[in-house]
Amino acid sequence: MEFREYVIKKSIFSLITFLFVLIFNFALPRMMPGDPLSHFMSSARLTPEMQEMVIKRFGLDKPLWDQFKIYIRNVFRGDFGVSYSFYPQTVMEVIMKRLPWTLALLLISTTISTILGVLTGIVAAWKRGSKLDVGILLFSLTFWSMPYYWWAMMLLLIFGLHLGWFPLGGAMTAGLSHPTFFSFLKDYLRHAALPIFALVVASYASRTLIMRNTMITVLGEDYILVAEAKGLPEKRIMFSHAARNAMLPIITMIALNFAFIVGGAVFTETVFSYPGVGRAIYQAILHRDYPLLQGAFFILSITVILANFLADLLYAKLDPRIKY
Amino acid sequence: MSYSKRACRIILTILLVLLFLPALNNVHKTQAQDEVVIHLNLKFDMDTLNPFVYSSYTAGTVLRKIYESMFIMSRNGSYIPWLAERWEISEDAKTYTFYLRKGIKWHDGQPFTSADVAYTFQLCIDYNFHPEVTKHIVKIETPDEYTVRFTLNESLVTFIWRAGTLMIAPKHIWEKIEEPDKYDNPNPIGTGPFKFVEWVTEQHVILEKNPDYWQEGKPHIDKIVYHVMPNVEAAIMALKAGELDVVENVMPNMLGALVGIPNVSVYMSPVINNRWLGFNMRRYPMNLRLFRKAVSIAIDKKAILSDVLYNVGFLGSDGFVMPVLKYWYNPKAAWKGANMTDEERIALANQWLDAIGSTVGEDGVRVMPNGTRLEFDLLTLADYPTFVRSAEIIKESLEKVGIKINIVPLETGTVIDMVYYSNFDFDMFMMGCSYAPDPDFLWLEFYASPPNPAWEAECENYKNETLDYYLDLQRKTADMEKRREYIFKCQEILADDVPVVVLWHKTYIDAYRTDRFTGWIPEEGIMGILTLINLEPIKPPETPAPTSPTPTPAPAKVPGWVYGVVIVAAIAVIASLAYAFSKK
Repeated sequence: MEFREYVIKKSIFSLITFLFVLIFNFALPRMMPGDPLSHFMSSARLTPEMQEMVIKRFGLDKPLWDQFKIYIRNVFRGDFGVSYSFYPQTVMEVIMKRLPWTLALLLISTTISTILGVLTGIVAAWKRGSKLDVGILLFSLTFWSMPYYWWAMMLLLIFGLHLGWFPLGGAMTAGLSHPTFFSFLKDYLRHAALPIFALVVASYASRTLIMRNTMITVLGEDYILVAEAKGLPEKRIMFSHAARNAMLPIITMIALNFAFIVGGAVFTETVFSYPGVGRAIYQAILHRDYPLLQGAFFILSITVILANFLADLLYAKLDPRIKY
Repeated sequence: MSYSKRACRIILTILLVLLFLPALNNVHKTQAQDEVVIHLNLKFDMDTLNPFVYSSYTAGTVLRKIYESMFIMSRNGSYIPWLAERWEISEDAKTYTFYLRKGIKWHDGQPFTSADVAYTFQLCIDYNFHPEVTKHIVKIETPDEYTVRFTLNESLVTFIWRAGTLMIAPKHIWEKIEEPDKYDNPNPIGTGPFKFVEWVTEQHVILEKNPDYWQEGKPHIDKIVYHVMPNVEAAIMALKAGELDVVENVMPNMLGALVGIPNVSVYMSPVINNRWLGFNMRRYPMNLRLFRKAVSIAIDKKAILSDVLYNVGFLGSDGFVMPVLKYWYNPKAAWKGANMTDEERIALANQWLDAIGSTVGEDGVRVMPNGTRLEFDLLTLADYPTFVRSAEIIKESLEKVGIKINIVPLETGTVIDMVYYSNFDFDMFMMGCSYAPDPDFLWLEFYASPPNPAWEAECENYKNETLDYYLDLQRKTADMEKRREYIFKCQEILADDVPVVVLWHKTYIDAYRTDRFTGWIPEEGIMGILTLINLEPIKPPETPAPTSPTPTPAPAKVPGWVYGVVIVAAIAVIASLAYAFSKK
C-alpha cells in the first residue's frame, strides 16, 4: 500500500468518527436525567411565568427532530447558538474568551513535562537498575501519588500565602496597564507559575514511567545490539536509535492529551482561580446548558480527531516498520 | 547534533508564541497610584451586564452598584427611599404613585426623570422581563417629570416592593437598542454610585467612583475591584494576606479558618432562606395532620443546628417565616420543640403516633391499622453536604419514634425534577429556597387555589381553604398593620397543619478586614450598596493602593508546620537525588 492510500484510509476513519461525534454530541446532553428547564437558573424552581419565558427564549418547545436539524445546520456554520447559563453571550463567545488562557497554560505545562519526562525516562532506562534509575522512580512516584487537589492547595498556601512570592488567584493583575511586552510577560508568568508548576508535577511522572518502560523494551531489540557492535558512540545509540523508537507511545499519549488541553483542567482552574474552558464546561453540565456543552464537546472532539490523525501520519514517518 | 539544536529552537519559538496568546484578551488600563481601592470577591463569573436578563447572583451584586431602584429593601424587610423620595398606595391597592428625587443624573450626564422609569417598565412589559412585576400593570402615567403612577388590574400590595426594587435603565440609551433581550450591554450606564470600567472574563470586574453621585460626598472609595475566585479557601487566604477586603458567604465548616486572624471581623448575617422537609400528602399516612406534627416534633432540629451548621443559623419555625423578618415573624408559630427536652419531644411524638392508631411492630417500625409500615424514602440533595448530613440526623431522630427512613441522595436538579415537574412519585423530600424580604413567599409556596397552585401546595397536594383566604387577603391589603395580622394568621395555620417541617433558617458568614476601611454595615450585606457608599478609608489616600505590580508580601510570620512540610519535601528530593548520583 502506498503512503497516499494510507492517508486516505486514515482520513475516512477520521470522517466516520466525526459523524459519530456529531450524533453523540446531540444525543448525550439530552440523555442526562432531568430536563433543562428544571436546571435553569442555578437549579432553582421557576414560577409558571418564568417557565414560559425560558421555554420561549431557548426554543425548548420545538420537537427533538427540529432541534436536531437546527443543530446540524449550525454546526457547519460554526454557530452553536446562545448559551443558557451565560445568556445572552453566544457559545463561541463564551469559549473563545477562555480558550487562549487554557491553551497557553496547558501547552506550556505539557511541553515542559514532556521534555523533562522523556529525558529522565531515557536516562533511567539506559541506566536501569542503577541508583539513578531508582532515584528517578522514587522521585516521580512520590509526586504522582500525592492527591492533586491537596498538592495544589499546599503550593498556594506556602508560596502564595506564607512566602507571598505568587498571587493567590487570577491570571493578570486587575486594572494594571502593561506598557511593554516584558512587563506583560512578567505579570503573566507571576500568575501562571503556580498552576504550571502544579500541572507539570501532575503529568511528569506518567511520562517518565512510560518512556522508561518502552525504552527498556527497545533496548532489548537486535538493532541496538548491532549499533553497539558497530562501535557507535553511546549517546548516538541512546538518542538516535533507541529513544526515537521509544517515543512512539508518547506521541499517542500527547495526541490523546489534546482533549485535556482544549477542555481545560477544572481542578487547576478552580484551585488557582484561573480563567479557562474547564470551569465553563463544568457550569454548563450543572445547568444543563445544551448549546454550550455541544459547542465545547464538538471543539474538543474535533481537536482529538485531528490530533490522532496527525499522530498516525507522524507514526508512519517516524517508524519505518509501520505497515501501510 | 544540529538536529537537536533545531528542535530546541522550534520548541522555544512555540513557547514564545504561546505566551502571546493571552494578550489577545488583555485590556490595558492605566492606573493612578494614590487611589482608594477596595478588593471584593465573586464566587463565580457574571453571565451578562444586561440588567433585564441576568440570572447569576454575581451579576446582580455588580449591577446593583451601577443601576439603582426607586427604593432599597433592607434585609429585615423595611423600605429605604432611594431614587424615589416617597410613594403612595391607594386604598384599594390598585394605584401606586412614586415621587422621584430631583437633580439625579445618569453617568453620561443626562438628567434622570419619570420618563426613564416609565420606559423601563414599558420595556419589561414588551419583552416579558420580570413578568411577576409587569403582568398586572394596565397603565403607566407620568403626570410630571418626577412622578410616576402605575394602575393595576387587581389589588396586589406586593407590587410596591417588586416595582420599587426594579433596576431603572436610561430611556435615551435603551430606546436605541434593537433587541434589548439579546443585548449584552458592554458599557452599562446607570445612576449608581459606581461607574463601569471593565469586565475581564473569569478574572475581574472594575467599577470606579461616580463623582456626580446624587448623595453628595459619597462614595468615599475610588474604585471597586471584584476578583472572581471560585476557591473559597484561596479567598480566605487572600483575605488573610490583605489581597481581598471581603469574603462573602463562607461555609460554616470553614468558620474555624476565619477565627483569630488579626484585623478580620466575622459577621453572621441572617438571610431570607428556608431549608425544609416536605411530605407527599397523596400517600397515607402523610396526609394525616397528626402524623406530620409527630414528625416535626420528633426531628432533633437542635442537633442539626449544632452538629451540621456549627450553630450558624436559626431553628426552623413551624410558621415558615424566619425570625429575621422581625415585623412579620409570629413567635407563636415557633417550633414547639425548642423549649422541650429530648425525652419530652419523643414522648409527645409517640403519643401522637399512637393517636393515629399505629403500633410498634416486631422490628421496631410502627405499623398503621391497615398494615402500612411507617417506612419512607427521603430525597435529599447530594450536592449540598448540609442536606446530606441533616438527613442522617432526621433518620436517627425518627428511628427513635418507630419511623424508618431510607435516605436517597440525588443531585438537586434531579430532586427538583422528581418533586415538582414529574408525576409526584416520592414520599418525603428536602428542599431549600431564598426569597425577597417580604412574607408573600407564603403565597408563592402554599396558595392552592386557581389560577395555578403554588410550588409546595401542588407537589405535596396540600390545600387549606382558610389559609388560601388569608393568603389572598394579605395581597390585597394596603394597610400594613392589617396585612401583618393576616400574615400572623397564616403562620398559625401552617404551624398547625405542618405541610413542611422547616429544619433551619440559613445564615451567611461574612468576613471583612477592619484595618483598611471603617463604616461597615454588615447587617445590610457586606457587599451591599449601603455598605459600599458608607465605607471610608482608614489610611490617608496618599498610601499606594495594594494593586501595584508587586504587592507587599504577606505577613512574614511563617508557621512552623510550613517549615516542616518544606523540610520533609526537601529531604525527599535531596535524598533521592543523592541516592541517584552516589557511586554504584
